Order: sequence, then structure tokens, then C-alpha cells
Amino acid sequence: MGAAILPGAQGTLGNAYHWPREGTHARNYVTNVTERKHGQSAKCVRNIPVRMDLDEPQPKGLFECELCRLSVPYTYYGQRPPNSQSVVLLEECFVTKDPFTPEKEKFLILGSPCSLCKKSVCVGTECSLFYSKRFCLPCVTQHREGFPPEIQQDLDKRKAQKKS
Amino acid sequence: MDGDRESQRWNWDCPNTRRQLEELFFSEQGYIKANSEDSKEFWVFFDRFQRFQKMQKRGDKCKGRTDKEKYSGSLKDLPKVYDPRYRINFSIIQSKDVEKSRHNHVKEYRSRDCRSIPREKLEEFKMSVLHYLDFTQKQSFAKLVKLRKERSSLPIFQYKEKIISMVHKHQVVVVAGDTGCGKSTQVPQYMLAAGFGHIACTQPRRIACISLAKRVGFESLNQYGSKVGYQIRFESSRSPATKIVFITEGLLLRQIQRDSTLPQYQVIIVDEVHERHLHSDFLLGVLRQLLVLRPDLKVILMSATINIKLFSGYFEQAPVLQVPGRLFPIQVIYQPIPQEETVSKSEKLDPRPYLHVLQAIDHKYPPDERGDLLIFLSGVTEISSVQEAVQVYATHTQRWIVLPLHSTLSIADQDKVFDLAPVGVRKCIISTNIAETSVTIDGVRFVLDSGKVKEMSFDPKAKMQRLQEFWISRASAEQRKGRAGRTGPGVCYRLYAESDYDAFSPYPVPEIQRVALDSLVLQMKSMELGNPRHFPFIEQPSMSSIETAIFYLRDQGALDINEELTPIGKLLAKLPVDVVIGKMLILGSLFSLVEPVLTIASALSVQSPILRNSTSNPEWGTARKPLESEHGDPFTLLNIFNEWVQVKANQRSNSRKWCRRRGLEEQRLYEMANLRRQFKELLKDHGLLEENVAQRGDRNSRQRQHKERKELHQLKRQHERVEKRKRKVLKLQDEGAGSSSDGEEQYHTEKHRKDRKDSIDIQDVKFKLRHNIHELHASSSTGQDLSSQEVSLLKLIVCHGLYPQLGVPDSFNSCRKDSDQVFHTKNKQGVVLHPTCVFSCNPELLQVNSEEESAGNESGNKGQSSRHQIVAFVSLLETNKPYLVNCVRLSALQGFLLLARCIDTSADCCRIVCDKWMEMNVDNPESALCLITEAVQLRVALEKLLKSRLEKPSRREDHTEDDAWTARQEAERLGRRLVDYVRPEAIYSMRRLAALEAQNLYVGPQVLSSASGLPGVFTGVELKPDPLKGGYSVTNFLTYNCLASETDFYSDCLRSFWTCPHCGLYMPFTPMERMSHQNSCMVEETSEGLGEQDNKMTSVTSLHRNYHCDICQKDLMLTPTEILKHKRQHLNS
Repeated sequence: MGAAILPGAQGTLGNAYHWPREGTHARNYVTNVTERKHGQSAKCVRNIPVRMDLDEPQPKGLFECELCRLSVPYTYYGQRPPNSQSVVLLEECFVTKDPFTPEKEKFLILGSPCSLCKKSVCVGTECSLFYSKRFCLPCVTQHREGFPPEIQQDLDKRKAQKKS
Repeated sequence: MDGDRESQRWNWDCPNTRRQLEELFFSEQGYIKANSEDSKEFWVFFDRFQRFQKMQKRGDKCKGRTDKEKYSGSLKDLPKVYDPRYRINFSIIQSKDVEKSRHNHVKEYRSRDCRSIPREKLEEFKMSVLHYLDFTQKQSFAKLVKLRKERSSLPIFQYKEKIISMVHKHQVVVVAGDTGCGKSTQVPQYMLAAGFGHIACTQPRRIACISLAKRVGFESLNQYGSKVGYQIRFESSRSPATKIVFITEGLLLRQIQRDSTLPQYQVIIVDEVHERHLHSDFLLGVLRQLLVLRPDLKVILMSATINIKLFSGYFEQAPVLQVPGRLFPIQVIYQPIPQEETVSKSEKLDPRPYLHVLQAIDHKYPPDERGDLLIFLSGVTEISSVQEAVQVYATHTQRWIVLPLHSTLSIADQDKVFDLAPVGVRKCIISTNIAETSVTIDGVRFVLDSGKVKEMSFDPKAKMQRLQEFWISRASAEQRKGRAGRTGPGVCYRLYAESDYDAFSPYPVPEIQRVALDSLVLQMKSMELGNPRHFPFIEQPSMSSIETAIFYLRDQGALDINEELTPIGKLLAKLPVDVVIGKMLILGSLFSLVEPVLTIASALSVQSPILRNSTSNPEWGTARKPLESEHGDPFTLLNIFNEWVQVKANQRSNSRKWCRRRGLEEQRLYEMANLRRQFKELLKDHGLLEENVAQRGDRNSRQRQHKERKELHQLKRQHERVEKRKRKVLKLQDEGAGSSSDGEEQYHTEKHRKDRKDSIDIQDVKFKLRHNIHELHASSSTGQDLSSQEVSLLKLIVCHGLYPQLGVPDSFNSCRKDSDQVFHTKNKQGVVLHPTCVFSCNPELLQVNSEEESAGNESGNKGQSSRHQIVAFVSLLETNKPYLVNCVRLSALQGFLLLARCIDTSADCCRIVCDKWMEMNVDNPESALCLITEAVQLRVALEKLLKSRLEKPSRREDHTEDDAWTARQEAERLGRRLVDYVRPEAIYSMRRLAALEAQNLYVGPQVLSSASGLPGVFTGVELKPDPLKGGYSVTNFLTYNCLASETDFYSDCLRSFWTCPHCGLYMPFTPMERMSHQNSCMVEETSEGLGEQDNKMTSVTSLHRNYHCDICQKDLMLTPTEILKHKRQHLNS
């Protein structure tokens, strides 16, 4: 899947060929395909009794960052967050409804598995970065040379900031 | 090349272009919606992003690419060339239009619009949108992380696991922690995390319920969901999905009252138990008993670190967890007021010591060091006198903004204390103890504590509330001090000596020992908690206070002789109001005066909407004038409410403005409307109010109403989205306009006219959603044109509820100044009318007018009149003087005869003593007798009616239409008679008995041979000689001929000729015989079964026999004793 994300040679920014386009699908969300089973890498703490409340999506489980231990219940795992028709994710993410806005189509990406070590990590800059794929920071340090200089500079800057 | 030139000419700011782009990108389904807040924010971001990119380009050109070599490409599948776009983990799907225009399908639909936007510009724009979305993601995520960090940095966080394990192990746990440790927000969340599903957290204050629910909802990422809710009177954000509910103590008690095992909760957290409110003390007692019935129930008590042993001990040594607070160090400076300065014992508080502190702060701390001052004073008058002095200083130095804070301020004014002061200026908040616990203001660095508090205490003897000034307790002093150290190190100035502090009592007096316990005892009875005297309170209230309450409830008919609830009592227990007001409601429903009574009852149960503060505007009074009622304050409130509803119903008028003009606090009117509705529902539930068949109206109007509601809902949602009240920056007040509220208003209208136009009156929206304004409008307009009969009946109902809270004007009032009118109640002499009272501006309403008095003079007796007035009042409040609050006037004699618990008469009934307190001397024995007999009949009829109404099963279906109709007829007839009755006709004088007179009031027990043989004055009621007073007790409230007097020892035996108005019988009667006849005559008349002849015969009891008197040559129907008396009469003469 990762290869598919490679863009055209000129560096124009187009969609990957497989990305859903407007009109090509009937608005059914990709839920079952990419749905992660509970407890696979995100810890499912306990079954929250399901009460149908139409307005509120029920949490599927608890997302916990394996680095900083941030834990937040997530309502969706995959690439097409519900109610958000015009956005597609480029990686499979743990997503929750954005708690800071009443609009139900607004979502918040919490984290995703590192493309190398598969650990679930949050999107916070202290835990991971995204560069066409998700990398947790330990993996990034390990493969530092593999990243473009812009990314490396950024990392250095951040390190310096942290020290000061 | 062409494109290049085009892009140079390209202008992103062109509104046309922007509109086109919005059309293309911000569709209805899109992530950013057109015309939303979001889109506005986007454009702000967009401009910034453009600038940023330009700068970057320039930087790139200078720097060049030197470090390309380092990029080894060891990681697979990474883009060859770096682009910031790869750092964003999502992409946007566009609508067809955009796709098409991007692929240059120029001639398609809408092509003309899109042609003007070149492809690369569209790309550029798309990238900006993408970056904007990424930015919002980062923003939200940062917010979330910050939230989590804040939570875990709270002092209580380290104890999370400990608390959870303690709760699992024990049924009751005490969590003690000082302000700022986070217990109120965190413990409920910990319980949820520990797997408990239904958690109630009680709060003493309604505001706290709302704000905590908001905060906890926000923290648990459920700000817009319903996982966390609150429930207070009239307002609930609870849904079946709610897991944590913040609820007032009183409301939880009501829930227990409904279902004593409280099955809906798994955990009950009682917060702020150390504040020792009446309800929380009671709740603890109830919970303690509930623990046995519900072994699975968990109870957590949360308190400040005050007196923890008391709570732990009360629950069998429940384990205690102490959490340190998070306070910054506070320096305490004792500055006792020197003796010579306090010597000026004038009533006004000396503001100089307070001013000195302000000066000291200015002297010591540079103005750029922020930090506000909070002054604690005991009351409103103290606040205004300090405010006055400080304001002068503030205007002079331009370094302070002075803000008062107390509960009688309007809500908008209260909110000002949260606004920010400009740089270099400090806020000086002058507050009552409301800022000690209820209101928390951040940014306070200095606290100035007067050490005084005014507290309501209750005098059970006079049934009077007393607002007295006390020294505070050490616990309160610490609490006040703590307010300086919430956001940084602070300073606390205490205007008393350290030795004073040591002498303070350790804790404040619990509320249960300070207030009337009527409602509490009633509630205990209805919850079947046994004898209130033996209830295991955490700290017993005084026994006399409980006894007073029981006596009062018995007196009011809520409890019977065995202290069991009567039907009225059961109903009263369900009404969340004072017994007094409950009684009014019940009576109002009897006489089909429900609508106005509902309004009056709710008006008397909330704080008065009439604003009265130091800056009170004289124009307000003038504007309110037309609404004033000469009958009394409850009627003025009725008028205000009705008029307000009229204003509300009128689409075009602005009720907020209407209230402001008249100095009314609209919030209170909203509360009244809510309470009114609750009362109405309660009456319906108990079958006391006919369910009016809903006038559904035609289809059109229904549709219109539906549409209106939909719009309102929309407005409400809209409001909820942008609700956050933004803190404003306060303006330094100019010298002239400083305190005047007019200037204030102008400032508001000028500066915020634009905001105001946009902002909706959310209270108005909520109000219209909750109430059917058309229905309310209709009922309020019926309230507006009450006939004079209805008004006087209404007055009687109100007074019936208020009895025995009656006051009589002093006899010399007519010689006094308007403001110095003196009144007396039975237990308290020399009280005055509250300045807001309608009678304090119009005292002539309570005075016997002079013409009448001269008429009285003719008959040689001063003070004779038919128009004596008394007032019934809602409360007696002592501050610097004892005040009567919320008064209604009433004809004195008729009022007393209808209401008094104890009426004693002389033999000829001319001398009447009511409640062993007021003596009335009626001129004419004929009319005196008339008045008393009628009063007795009316009261008995009323009682009967009330009883039948309350005792009938609440299912109304059991009753046929006919029954209901006759009952209504009966009530109507009785109502008419009552109204006729209070019409002033008899001429009498009135005076209070001196203490000595009251002691020697009665003749005392008499040995009467004839006692057993007396006829019952009322069918079924045995007329008994009163064993204590002497004379005969006629009913439970009337004792005849028991008054000691030198003049007419035998007058009870004197007969005078009298014609019965009903049966036409003409013969001599003693007063007693006459009453007896009249009553039985009436009974017969209503039964209508017998002819007139029979009527005459049955009007006398079986003991009567025909007796021919030889001396006066008459045939009489007399009992044996009467025959003896009759004979004696002749002997005497």
C-alpha cells in the first residue's frame, strides 16, 4: 500500500490512483474493511455498555500511545472517518470525534501504528512524525539518515528546544 | 509565460475570487462549511499562510540546497523529493466542479466562473486548505494533550488509584482536600474510570452544578455530548446516556423522597460537606440509613480539610484520604483597627482602614505587577460605604476599578468581576461572603478581610429571621485568606488582631442550627423517617427548634394530633416551597383562582425581581408606579409578572429592555415562570387542577407554532456553539459617569451595539421553548382584569396562607412621618415596613381615614371605624431594624375573625379578643353577633370543602361530571360569601392587649350545673364549657363568653328579640341560642327537604320543650337549663 502513495515525478501533488473520488462511491464508509479488531494493538480496557444514543458515537475502545501513555477512547479506526465525506486519511488512524467542536463531522486523529515497528503512537510531535507514513520517534532516530534533510533539521531544532 | 504573468497579476484578496473559491471548496457536505465560523477562520489562516510561504521562498533562494547528499534513501517508499505536503496524513476529496476545473474542462458547467482561476492557483488553494485542516488537527490535539497534562498535574491525581481502591474496599470514604486540589472535578471521573456507571455528585449551589458539569464534560472530552450532565430545579441536561450528574442536594433529597432506595445511582458523592448546609446535613443522615438497605451503594464525602473527624466518625470511622491543596504561600498581615477609630459609633462603617490598605498596595507594589484586591465585608450597606470612599481614591489615582459583588446585584453586574482590568490598573472587588465559596475569581493577589459576616439566624419564638453581624470563624478566615493564593503568592490583610483570630470559633454555625425547620420536618415526615426528635443528625439542631416546627405544622394543619401527615401535609410535602405558599396554592385551586395564585406563590418563593442597590435609579420607581397595587406587594408582583408576559408575547418588544427600564431583574421573572409551571404541574398531578382541554387551534396556527419552535431550537443550538462569554477588558470609569448606571448603559449600547444585534437573548429563547407563551399570555391577561371581588378573595387566600404572620399598625401612625410607620406583630413590637413595600410610600392605605374617625367621634369613642386595616406579611427580617417584607392589607376585624386560631368573646359578643392579643370592641351587638356567626359558618364550610377536595382519590375519573360541578358551585358560593363578608360595615375600635390584660383575660372555669344540657350550637358538635377559660367552647377556635369583665356577668342569659332571616321566626334569644338556631336553620335550608313549619320545629334540638312563661306570657321552646335561666332572668329584673 505504501508504494501507491508515491507521487508523480514532477512533484505535483495529486491523489494516489486508488483514492476514492467524488461520485465514484455511494457514500458508504469503509468501516469493516479497515476496522481493527479490539485489542490488537490498541488496548481495549473494558466493554462500555452500548446504549444507543443517536447523537453520540460510542467508543470502540481505548487508544493508548505506547510512548507517552496518552490514552483517549477512540470511535473509529481506519481511513474514512464517519461523517467526514470530503477527507480521506493516508494511513489507518485511531480517530475520535473532535471534542472541541459541536459539529459532528469534525474528527480528531489521535494516533496510528508506526509503519516500521507497528507500535501504536500518538500524533504528538514528541512521539511520532508523519512523512508519507507514520514513524515513531525511536524508529526515526534509528533511521535518521533515511529522512530528507528538512525532516532532520526539524528534529534537531526540536531537540534543541527541548534542552533549552 | 502567460501563466506566469497571470499569476503575478493574481490577487487572492479579490472578494470575487474568494467567493468563487468558497463556492468550489466549502460545500454543504465539505469539511469546512460556507459562511461558518470555520470558513472565517480559514481566511485568517490563509492570509498568514500566504505570507509564511512567501518568506520561505525567499529563504530557500538564499540558502540553496547544500545538504542533499546526506539523504541516503535507506527507507523504502519515501518520496524522492521533499515536499511539506508529505507531512500531512490526509487528503481532501473534491467536488466534481473542482476536479473538472482542475483538469481544464473549461466548457463544462459553471465553466465561466472557474475559468478565471488558473489551475495552479486552484492547486495552491487546495494546499492551503489542506494545511489549514492539518493546523486545526494539531490545534485540537494540542488542546487535548494540554487538558490531560493539567489533569495529571492536579494534586489529587497521585491519589487516583488510592481513592479507587478505597472505594472498592469501603462503602463510605471521606476525601478531604483544600481548594484547588481538584477533587470536585476529578473524583467523579475517577469513579467512572473505575467502572461505576451512574454517579451523582451533589453540590450546595446550582451554579456549581452547571459549571462543574461543563468543566468535567470538557475534560472528559464530552463537552458536546451528554455523558456528563447536571440537574437543578427547572433545568436538566441529563439524558439516558448521562453517567455523571451534578445535582443540587435538595433535588437529590426529592429523588430519595420519591424512591427511598435511590436505585438510579451506584455512587453518590456529597461535595462540600464541611459547609454544613441544611440539606447536606440532612442528606448525610438519610444516606447513613440508606447504606444498610443498599450495600452496593458507594458514598464519598468530600470536604475541605476542616473537622474531618466529625464526618468520618458519623459513618462508623470511614477511612479518610487527605489531599494537599495547591495554594501559593500567602503572607498574613494583621492590621487591627485602632480603638479610637472605632469609637465613632455611628451606624456607618468607617472606610478609612480599607483605604489605607489600597494606598499601601499602591505604595509597595509597582503597577505593572498584576494582581487584584478582594475585600470581604459583611453586607450591602457596608459595601456601598466603602465603595464610595474607594471610588474617590480610584478616580484620583486612575489605578483601580471598583466593583461591588453581592447576591442582590443583577447578574450582568455580578459578571463584571470576571472581566479584566487594563494594564497598570487593579480591580478592587468589594464583596460579601459570596466570594468566600460561591464565586471564585482568578487573579486575586490581595485579600482584605474585615472579619465580619452577616448571617441569617432564626428566632423560633418570634418566627423571625434575623440578619446579624458576627465575627467569622477561623475556618472562614482561612478560606478568605486562601482566595489570595490561587494563581500566585498573595497577601492577606486582616482588620483584626491575631488574638481576635485565636478567639474566633473554629467553625461556622451549621445552617441547621440557624434556620426554621418547618420544611425539613415536613419532608422527614413524608419520607417516613420516624420521629424527627430522634433523627440521628450529624449534629443535633436544638430541640426547641424542632418542637417549634412540629407545633407550627400542626397549627397549619399539616400534621394531626398524633403528628402524622394530614392530606394537606402530604401535598405540602411534595411542594418544594414553604408551607405558607403551599397552602395558598391549595386554596387557590379551590376557588378557581389558580392562575393568579400560581403567580403570587411563585413570586413569593423567589428573590424579589425589584432591584434595590446603592445606585438605584429614581426613574425606576416612577416607571414601576403603574404596576404597583394598593392591595399589597404580592399584587404588585402579580402585576409585574403579568405585564412582563404581555411584553414577552409581543413579538416586537424587547422584554430585557422593558425590565432594565423598570429596575427589574429579568432572571427572577424567568425563575418565577419556571416555578409557576412546576406548581401547576404539581397541582394537576394531585387532581387539584382540571386539565384544561388543550385548545389545539386550527391547523394553520399549529403549523405556525411548530415553525416558531423549530426556529427557537435552531437559535438555541446556534447559541450553544458560540456560547463562551469572552472576558472583556474593563474601562476605567470617568469621574462623572463613574457609578451612574445610565452612563454604563450608554457605554454598552455604543460600544456593543453591533454585538448586541447579533447576540440573541438566550434566556428569552429558552423561556419560549419551555413555556407556551400563548397560553401564558392568555392566563396572564385573565390575571390582569380581575374583578374587585376576585381581588378580595385572592387577598383572603394569600392571607390565609400567611396567617399567623399578621401585623397591626400602631395607633399613632397617622401622626408619624411616612417612613416612620410602626407596626406590631403578636410577638414582636415596633417593626417597620420594608422600604420596597407599597405601603411605606402610601401609608394612608393603612390608616383609618379622617372623615370616618370624626364619625367615630360623634359616638363619643375615639378610634372607632369600620375600616381598620392589618397587614399580613411574608417574612419578618431583622437587619438594622426589624422589617416586614411583602405585605398585603386586609380588613382587621373580618380578617381576624376568619383567620385567628383562637377567638374569645364576651357574652354579648361585642368584645372580641383574637389570639389573646388583639381586642376589638364592636359598637353594635347585633352586627357583632352577625359577624361571628357568619365567620363560624364560613370557616366550617371552608374546612369541609378543603377536606373533601383533598381526601378524594386523586383519580378524577372516579368522579362524575355532576360531582365536580356541584363541588365547583359550592366553592363559588362560598367564595361569594367570603367576599361579601370582608366588606367593611360594622364600626369598631381595635387595640392590642397589654401583657397583664392578656394574662387575666378569662373568667376561668365555672361550675355550671347546666353544662351537660346545653344544646349543640352546631349539629354534631357538642357545646362544652371550656375547662380553662370558662365560658363555652363553640368550635375549636371560638370560645364564647369566657372573657372576664366586670360589667355584664349575666349578659349571656339576656334575651333580645330577633327575627331569623331564614325562617322568619321572631322571638327572644340569648346570643348562644341565636347562633344555634341560625346554624341549624341554615343546615335545614340547604337540605331543602322540609317545609317551613318543620324547619322551625327542627331548628331546635330534641332537648327543647314547650315552655310557657307566666311572667312574660310567652310560649317558648327551651331546654330545661334555659328554662331555669329564663326564670332567673325574671327574678333579677
